[in-house]
Amino acid sequence: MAILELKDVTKKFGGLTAVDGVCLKVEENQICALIGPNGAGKTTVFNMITGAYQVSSGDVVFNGESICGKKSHEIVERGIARTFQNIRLFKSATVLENVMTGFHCKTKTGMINVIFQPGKCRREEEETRQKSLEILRFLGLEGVKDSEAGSIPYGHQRLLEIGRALATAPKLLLLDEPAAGMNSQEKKELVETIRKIRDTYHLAVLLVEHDMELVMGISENITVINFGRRIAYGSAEEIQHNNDVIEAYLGRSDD
Amino acid sequence: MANTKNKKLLMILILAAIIIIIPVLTPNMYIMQIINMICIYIILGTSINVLTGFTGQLSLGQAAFFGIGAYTAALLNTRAGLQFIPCMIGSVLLTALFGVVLAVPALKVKGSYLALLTMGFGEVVRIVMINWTPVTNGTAGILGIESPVFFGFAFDTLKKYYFLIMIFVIAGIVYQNVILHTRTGRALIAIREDNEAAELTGINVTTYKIRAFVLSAVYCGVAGCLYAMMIKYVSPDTFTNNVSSVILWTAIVGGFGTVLGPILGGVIMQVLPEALRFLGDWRLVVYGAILLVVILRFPGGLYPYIEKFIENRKAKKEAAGAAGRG
Amino acid sequence: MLFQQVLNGLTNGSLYALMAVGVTMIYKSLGMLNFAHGDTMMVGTFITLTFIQMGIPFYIAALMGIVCAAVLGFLLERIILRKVKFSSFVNLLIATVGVSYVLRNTGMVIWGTSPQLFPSMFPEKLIQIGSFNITPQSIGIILISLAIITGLHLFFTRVKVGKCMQLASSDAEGAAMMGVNVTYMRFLTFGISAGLAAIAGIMIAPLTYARVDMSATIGMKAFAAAILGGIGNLWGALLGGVILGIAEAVGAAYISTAYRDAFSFIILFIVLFVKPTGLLNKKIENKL
Repeated sequence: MAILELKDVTKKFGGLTAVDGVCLKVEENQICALIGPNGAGKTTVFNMITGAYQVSSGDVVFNGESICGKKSHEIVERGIARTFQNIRLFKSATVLENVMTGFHCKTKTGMINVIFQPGKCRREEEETRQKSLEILRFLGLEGVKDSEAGSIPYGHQRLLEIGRALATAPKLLLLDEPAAGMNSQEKKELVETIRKIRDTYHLAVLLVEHDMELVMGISENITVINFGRRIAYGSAEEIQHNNDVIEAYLGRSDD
Repeated sequence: MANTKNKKLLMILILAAIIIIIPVLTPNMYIMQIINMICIYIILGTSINVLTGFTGQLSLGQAAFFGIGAYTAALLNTRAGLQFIPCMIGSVLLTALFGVVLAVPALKVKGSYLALLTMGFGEVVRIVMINWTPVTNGTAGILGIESPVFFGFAFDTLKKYYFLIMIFVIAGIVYQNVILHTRTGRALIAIREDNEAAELTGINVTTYKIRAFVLSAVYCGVAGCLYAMMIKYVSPDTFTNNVSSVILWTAIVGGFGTVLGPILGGVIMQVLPEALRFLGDWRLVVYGAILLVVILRFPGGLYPYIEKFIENRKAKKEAAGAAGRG
Repeated sequence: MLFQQVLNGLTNGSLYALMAVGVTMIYKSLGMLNFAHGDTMMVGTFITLTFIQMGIPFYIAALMGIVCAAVLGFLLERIILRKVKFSSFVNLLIATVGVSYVLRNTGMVIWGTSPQLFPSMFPEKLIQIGSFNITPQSIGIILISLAIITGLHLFFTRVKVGKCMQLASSDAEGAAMMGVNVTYMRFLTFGISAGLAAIAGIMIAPLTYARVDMSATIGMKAFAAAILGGIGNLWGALLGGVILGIAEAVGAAYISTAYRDAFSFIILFIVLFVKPTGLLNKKIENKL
């Protein structure tokens, strides 16, 4: 069953059509990629899936339910988490606190029950802490758990963003250019990490990425868009031999 | 483990002793009044700390909530003859309501606009206080508020009243600390750090911003009720924009986003103008100038600097000790 | 009756507009409201009054007041902008609030809190046209404000220094690359803004008396006018000021005089709620 399905999704900004009737399917436990030249509308698609933008027409179905018009935090609650192209951590909070914040929608402690049920809240707090440490251990960030999130190395910050997203217990993880700014060694590790995440947390991954080698090496299904339209989809091999795709990428160097 | 627990207990005992001994050692009512005002300003400083320090929502209109709390208590007491606790509940409920009223437009704006919006809110509330004469008695204010009485024990002197305020100060600070270190506090800090990322981490930014406004307003409401029942008189003059600025500075000078900052700020903000009395008319000018220098020189507030200073000294001592041993 | 109120509103409104222009200029350059703007106006007004009381002719006194206010503007830029790099936005904003606090209390010490008569530069005769009255003062205020704002517009679009100021405000980095002295331009922006405030103050004072606490209400109305029209926009400031002035006058006449000052804030709330970018600025969709 498809966990995420975009049906003819269109986004217009004023008179400009940024995304035009895009269809996309992500199966459960699948690693998929959304690629396309710069300005093709990839991030806009992400923003529509996560509810940051309203869909102009079409439908986004997640886990059998339409999530169009839902607020971002409601979509996160339903099981879609994302990372950002330009890292957006809670910089002055610690690494551990960043991950703990991710557990927000899975926990209940509020402003009032914290007074009347202190024991229960303390237990929940401790549980959150342990689970967060588990995620940090999984990502190899345990050593920096008490550092300020903004002060750790760039590669670690990328991982931490993934950790924060994992804390929301997603069924689908959206990665927006996860390899940006990484060297080839780090990229190799990233591929391993993404696979490991999929296998350990049993989730589907949809990534936007410019690095073709990485995309081809990891994705089971690839959707290509250009000028807001889907021009191809299929396995890595199919995409590599698709004439439209080659034209879209190489056509620019002709002129 | 047991050792640190004992140490903590000892610290609490020492702190309790200090709190109890303060009014005993205070020589006169003038100083007692200042101490009580410090306590009220600690609560007010905490209110803005929750809103601006943790959630990142600037407010230049806290005096409005302070005033609403004070007027509610004053009216419930003088008109309806209600006692302290129902008055306090009334203040809390009404300020909470106004917290929502301000929060709704505030959700749409940030930065300078938010500062202006909250300042305008403060001004409107003051205009209403001045002009809604049948209820607020206009510029003359409301006189004849009674002291709180519990089971025949009246908190009718400043020294007795001090203990009543202290209960709220301690409860307020403890609650702030608890909130800060649990789910709610993390959500508020996430909003301060990155609005959109917070929303995309599953936090309902809208309701949490409203909660922050309400919580902040309620702290002011409590302070207002305590103020009205201590001074036994309220008038629009007490709840001006100047007071809003002083409330904001209380948290800033102490250190925004720190739990102990408002305490330090409360002491400085209340003691400084009294210490400057020898300057006569110029004292508020010098007061403002000193605060300006503090804000520009110590952008994070004084508390973090003091903390760093103590840490440095500790480190030096340890280094010296290690060198001595070696 | 209504027409009379509209005319009164137009008079006050053009003064708010003059203040709002200064607010807008600084907002464009710093990205924040200068909460000491109203107090700069107050200081300029009272310095003028002091010189007048010393027997110095009105126009010379006014000029000295305006120059003093401009100098105050320069100083403000020095005090606050020097710290921009080291300070957060909140601190910067609070610093202007602090300057405002210091100026207001200084004013109270020097000039007292009671309202003082302020001479008008216009003859006090009433001109009757049909059933309503116009004072030369109203006409003068409206014309001068309009002339100044038009002049500023020309200055910013035609004169080299003005163009440089615009560029430095909207794109400091780009301006610096083109050899514009950004620091100096900011300096000028603050000076001109403060000078305008003083001019507005000198024209407001005869209508309302000179009072130290005029800074708070008029300052806030200037912010409201600037935001209402669309901040960063000269004509927006004019439009905002006029709308505010008329709404206030009509509201005071038909609803309640006591709540006169509240009207402008209520309008401000509505604008911030409905269209925070103001009337003349385009709406921007928040990009992630």
